[in-house]
Amino acid sequence: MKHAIALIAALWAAPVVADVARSVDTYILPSYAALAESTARLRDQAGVDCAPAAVRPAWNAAFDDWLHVSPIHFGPVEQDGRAVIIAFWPDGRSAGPRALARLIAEEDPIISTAEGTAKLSAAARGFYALEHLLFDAQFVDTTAYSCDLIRAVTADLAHMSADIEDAWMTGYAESLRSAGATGNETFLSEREGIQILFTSLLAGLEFTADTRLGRPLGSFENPRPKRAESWRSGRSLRNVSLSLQGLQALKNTLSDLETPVTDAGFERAFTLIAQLDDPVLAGVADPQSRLKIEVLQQAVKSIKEAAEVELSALLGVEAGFNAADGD
Amino acid sequence: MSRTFLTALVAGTLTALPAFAVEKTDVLTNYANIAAAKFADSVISAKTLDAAINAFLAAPSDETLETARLAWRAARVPYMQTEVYRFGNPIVDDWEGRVNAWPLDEGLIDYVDTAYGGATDENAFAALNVIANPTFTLSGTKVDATEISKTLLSDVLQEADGVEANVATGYHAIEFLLWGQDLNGTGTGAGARAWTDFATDDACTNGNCDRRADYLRTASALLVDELDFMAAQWIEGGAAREAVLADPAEGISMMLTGMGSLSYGELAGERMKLGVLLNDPEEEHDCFSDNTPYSHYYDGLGIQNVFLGHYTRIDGSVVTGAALKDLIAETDKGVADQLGQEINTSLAELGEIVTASENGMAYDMMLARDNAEGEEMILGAVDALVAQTRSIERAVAALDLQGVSVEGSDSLDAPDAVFE
Repeated sequence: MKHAIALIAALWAAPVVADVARSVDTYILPSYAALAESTARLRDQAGVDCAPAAVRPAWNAAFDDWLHVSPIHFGPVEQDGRAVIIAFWPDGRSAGPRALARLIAEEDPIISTAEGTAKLSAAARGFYALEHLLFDAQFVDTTAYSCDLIRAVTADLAHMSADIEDAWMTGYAESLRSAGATGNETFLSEREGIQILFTSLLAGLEFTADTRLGRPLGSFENPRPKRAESWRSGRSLRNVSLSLQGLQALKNTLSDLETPVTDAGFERAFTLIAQLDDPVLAGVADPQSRLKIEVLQQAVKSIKEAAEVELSALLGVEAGFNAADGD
Repeated sequence: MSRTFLTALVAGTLTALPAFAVEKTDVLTNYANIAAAKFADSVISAKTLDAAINAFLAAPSDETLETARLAWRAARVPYMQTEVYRFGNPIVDDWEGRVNAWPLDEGLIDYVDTAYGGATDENAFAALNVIANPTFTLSGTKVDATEISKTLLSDVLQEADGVEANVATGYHAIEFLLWGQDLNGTGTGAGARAWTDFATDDACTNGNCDRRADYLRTASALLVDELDFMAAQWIEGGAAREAVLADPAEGISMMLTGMGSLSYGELAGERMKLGVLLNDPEEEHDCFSDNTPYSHYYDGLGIQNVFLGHYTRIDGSVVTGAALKDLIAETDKGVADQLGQEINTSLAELGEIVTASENGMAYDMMLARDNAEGEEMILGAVDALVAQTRSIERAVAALDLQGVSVEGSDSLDAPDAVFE
């Protein structure tokens, strides 16, 4: 008992080093709630009118909400491959358009039930499959079948988003808030709760720098504008910005520690984005404008380096393993 | 061990010394010894493969082709056990693409089925077919490929045009030439290339048999060279061994990084879960030969080797010594025991996939959209690998290796330099 009192006293005196519960309550849960709502609206809109032009605004709004919470890659979103299904990108082998073209050519009746749609290839589900159906010249002339397909995929997306929110609300949020409590088998110590959020922050910054920006940049001799994320819908740069806003929210809710270099890094990146009039990052192919995108990529890498150094020692954790550790 | 005990007695400080302490340097030396043995075994079995390929090309037939294929499968056994060295050791990681790059756009190398398609947005050379085309233009440069040399494969074609799917060298390029495309989708059967693709006379099928034979011969010889290079990095004085031994805490961190990254991001994620989620047989690691269940299993076994500090060589002899498991157990026996159990579980799950494939359900069949049993088996192994990753993180924490990988950073050392 003496120990407990001493510990409480120590905590009272110390600044808030890490506040996992605050991240859960003010970043993760509201973000998943917003996603569940906007994907439901997307489903409803497709139900009313499946014409691509009619569905696009709701798809854009829901995709915005996804990007904000996309740094969270653990827990319910990792179960059953949901993160991969909701956001199957990059798709270097064009699995998405191939799978969609096959479904449409065969008018595969599997999509007539929710259970059937859930069996589809991840490449034919989620936001990026919908982007093909709504923006890709190959698919935008809708047939009765492709209309059904848009309805099936939006409903599937709404369903997964609702399941994720539900799983957080009915147990996972509490297990993360109570990391280290007796009987908590998911997070054996408080440190493990902090670590998983810290890992998410670093992995998210890395993904935006190396993949969202790195893929279209390619090399100087060989830039790859068509590898930009969501170029068909004209939102490549918007995705960079929204993912960084989500990451900043994660960082700010996780800790009150002074992290001046990290904070300045975020501000610098947002300034660069505001100055970059290039929604699909097409400028990678032009030596002049390419430099601006390289500078932005470097700025995002700098945020990661800063966060790693500023937060790691103070939080007392190091990044754990993340799903992008492979190739 | 007895010497330590004696020294302690003589010094009269028995109570002050942890007499049986596991020394980090002993664990690391054993780790390097095992790497040296594994890469040496990889060289030996690649030479056996090379001999079988040369015998096949000298006298092509069903039998000699089958012997070469068996030698390829055997060569995968020690190599896959080395993969646990990949992610923690930059020397291995920077090199491994030369021998095990995957997945590949095989149309770069040879003829493919019409369903494969041609060049793509991603890869302008996806259907280059160097075997049929002795000269071609690559990124604006004219290439003379009349002689299929090692340099052509490793310096010109490998990752041509900066595209990773342009794989011209290594196990999978050889696999493609020995088996051909697996055109069975998620149905029964692997690649079924006929020996006549390498016939030296009128029996030649699909044209350019001489160039195809040259390619296979060259790729095989190159594989031996590459593995020789890596084996040399791990012997006494080798760069990879020195890197591991340079700093004990950093070295242990490299061991655990390799185990965790292979378990989670690479094997569970990239190689297993993705294939199931896409129902795509092209996402199969050894997709031409359907050897994938074994490749996954030996990846898993490699992780256990590092944990237990124990490796059984291809000749049956054993390399063993101070174990990471015991080092972890000194600090936190609970974590060590749990990780040991979890690795046993993941190996059992991976073993189930091997058994199922031996009983007729090939790995690509497990990926089929309606194969719930196959999906459950693969995802069972994925879950086990993810679970052990959490314990590997706990081991890192228990051993207090924090901070070892956080090196000096421009952003803190010279913030102005970053934001200028």
